[in-house]
This record gives sequence, C-alpha cells and structure tokens, in this order.
Amino acid sequence: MGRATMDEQTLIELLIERKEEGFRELMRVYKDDLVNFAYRFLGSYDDAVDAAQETFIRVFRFIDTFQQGARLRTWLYTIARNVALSMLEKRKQRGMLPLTVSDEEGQELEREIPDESYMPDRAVDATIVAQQIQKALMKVPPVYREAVVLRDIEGLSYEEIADVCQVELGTVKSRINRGRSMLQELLRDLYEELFGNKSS
Amino acid sequence: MNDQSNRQQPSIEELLAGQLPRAEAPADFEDVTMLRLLLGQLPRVSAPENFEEEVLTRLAETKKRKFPRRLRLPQSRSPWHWLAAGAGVAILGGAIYYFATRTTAPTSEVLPPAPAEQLRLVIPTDTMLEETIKKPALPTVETTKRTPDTFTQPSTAPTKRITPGKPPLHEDDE
Repeated sequence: MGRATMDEQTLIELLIERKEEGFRELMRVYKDDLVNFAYRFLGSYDDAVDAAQETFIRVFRFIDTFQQGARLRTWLYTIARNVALSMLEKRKQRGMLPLTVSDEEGQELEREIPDESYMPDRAVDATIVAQQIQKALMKVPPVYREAVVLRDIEGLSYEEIADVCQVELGTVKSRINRGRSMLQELLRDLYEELFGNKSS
Repeated sequence: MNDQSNRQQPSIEELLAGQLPRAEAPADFEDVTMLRLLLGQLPRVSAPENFEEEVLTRLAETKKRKFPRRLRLPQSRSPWHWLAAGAGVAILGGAIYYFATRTTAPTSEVLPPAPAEQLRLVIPTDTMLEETIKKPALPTVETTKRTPDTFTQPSTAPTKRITPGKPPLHEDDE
C-alpha cells in the first residue's frame, strides 16, 4: 500500500465531493495493491490492470453508496473482487475455460471450475518458482483462491475477508484452509525441490 | 508480610502451566508455514506508470457514452426491428385518426334540408270566421281570500267608558 498523505476520512470527503485531488490520492495509495490482488487472482497482468482501473471507475461513480463507518480498503477490495469475478465469467462465456468438470461433489460446480488461464508475465514473475506458484494458484478454484490471496498475499484479516467476500467468518476460515491444502498438493514437487524433504 | 505470602503461594504462571492443557501445533503446521512463506515471497505487482491517466480517460469516456447511445439507432438494427417499428407507427396513426374523426364528426355533420310541407304554415279556413274567433280570455289574477280565522281586524266600535268613582249602574236601577 502506498503511503497516505491524508487521513481516510478526509480522503472520503474529497471523493464524495468528486474532487480529482482525492481521486488521484486514492489511486496513488491503493493502485499497486489492487493490481497485485487482481493479478494473483486472474493470472494475467493486462486483465489485472484493467480490473484495477475498472475498480477505481466504479469507486468514482458509486462513492455516494459508500457507508460511513466502513473501511475504504475493504470496500475497494470488495469492488475489485466483483470486477475480477465478472471477468472470470466473461472468460468462461468466451470459452476460455472448460464448462464441464469431472467433480463427484457436484456442488458449486460452475463457480469452482479451475481457471488455468495463467499468462505468465516475465516482468512480474521473473523466477521459475514464482511462475510455478502462480500456476498452482490458478488451478485452485476461485472461491478458495480469493480467500488465500487475500489472506496470505494481501494480508487482510479474517474479518476483512468476510466483509469482502460477503460470507461468514467460519466460511472464510474453511475456505482458506481448503485453499491452502490444495496449494500444498499442487506444490508438492516444489516443496521437495526447495526444502529437500517430501511434505505430508 | 505480603512478600512472604506471595512466595508461599504459587504464581499465576505456575498455576496456568499446571492446570491448562498444552496447545499443540496442527499436523500441517510446517507445510502451511512454508506455503505462506512462499506466497509471501511472490513479487509484488505494480501498476503501470500511466495508470491514473488511463483511469481518468476511461472515466471521461464512460461519461460521454451515456448520451450518444440512443443516437446510434440506424446502424445496427435488424429488418425485424424496422418491421415492428412500422407496425407500431401504423397502429398509432390509426388510433390517432380514429379519435380525431370521432371527436370532429358532430360539428362537421350537415343536416339534410327539411321537406317543404313541414315548413309551410297551414291555417284552416273556418278558423277565420267571426264566431269561431274567440276573444282571448283575459288572464284572471287569482287572489287569495283571507279567512277571518287567519286575520282579525281590530274593532273600531266605541267601548263603554267607566268613570272612576261612580259605581256601575244595574239594569234594575235604570
């Protein structure tokens, strides 16, 4: 997160007044966080930038709906998540993702289709390790991936993630655990390579 | 005194250590920690240099787009659209014509001329004879008679005068 030059309340007031100064400050502080979140969630740098830009446009248009007392950061991540999810839906409609998946559970089948459309950006994921991790992330279904990214990469608290994803705290915890377990399985070989012993 | 009693009693730390069960790390603790370490080592992605300018440009474009959308009608409409629009206009025109003619009909209608027989005044010849011509009866003004019961005129007859001091005379005395 960029260093803020004004307190959050002042920033919100400037945004409500539609002052460009406030809008620029908001982007300066949060743009990198949102691009990073979107990139780890979508796996494409161009889409991530697009999603972050769309997030700020929506902030500008719907700042009147921002509830006083809510945290600006949480609200921004909520919008960014919605934008990223709709981008995933569009990808699915364009046929970039398989529509059927052999899943015996059958629950939330549409939402949990693994998104393997990782387009590694050499400028971003310069190392093989980073690329392998990102590739593994993209194989985790979106509901678990967003929870893991928000917690372990963006550093949001469980409560903040619950607000962003609009689910119960218990659901957040279970999604994070499930997502981590999936990642561990996917990164088993990398673990061996990096740490020398086979993880359980 | 207080210090001595404190020394004899076990401290709160000792109590808690003895009474509370030890919490152990979960089985996958190391794996999760290493995973978090790996995820934390992922390079942070930054926004491009012209990020803000692009957002402001896009924002301006979305504001502009609100109005010209309706002006793009003729470009990408299917024949069905025009057919439906034509039918709509025809129905609307028909409805307007119907209501317009309906309201103007009574004023513009030309009545046929009445037949001449109906307009001619026919006076029978015997009505011109003197005896048949009756004098018109004068209108009688109906007056309302007042009954005595309803109205009593005050009488003008002289009344007997009674002189004071003199007793009334009896008929026998006279």
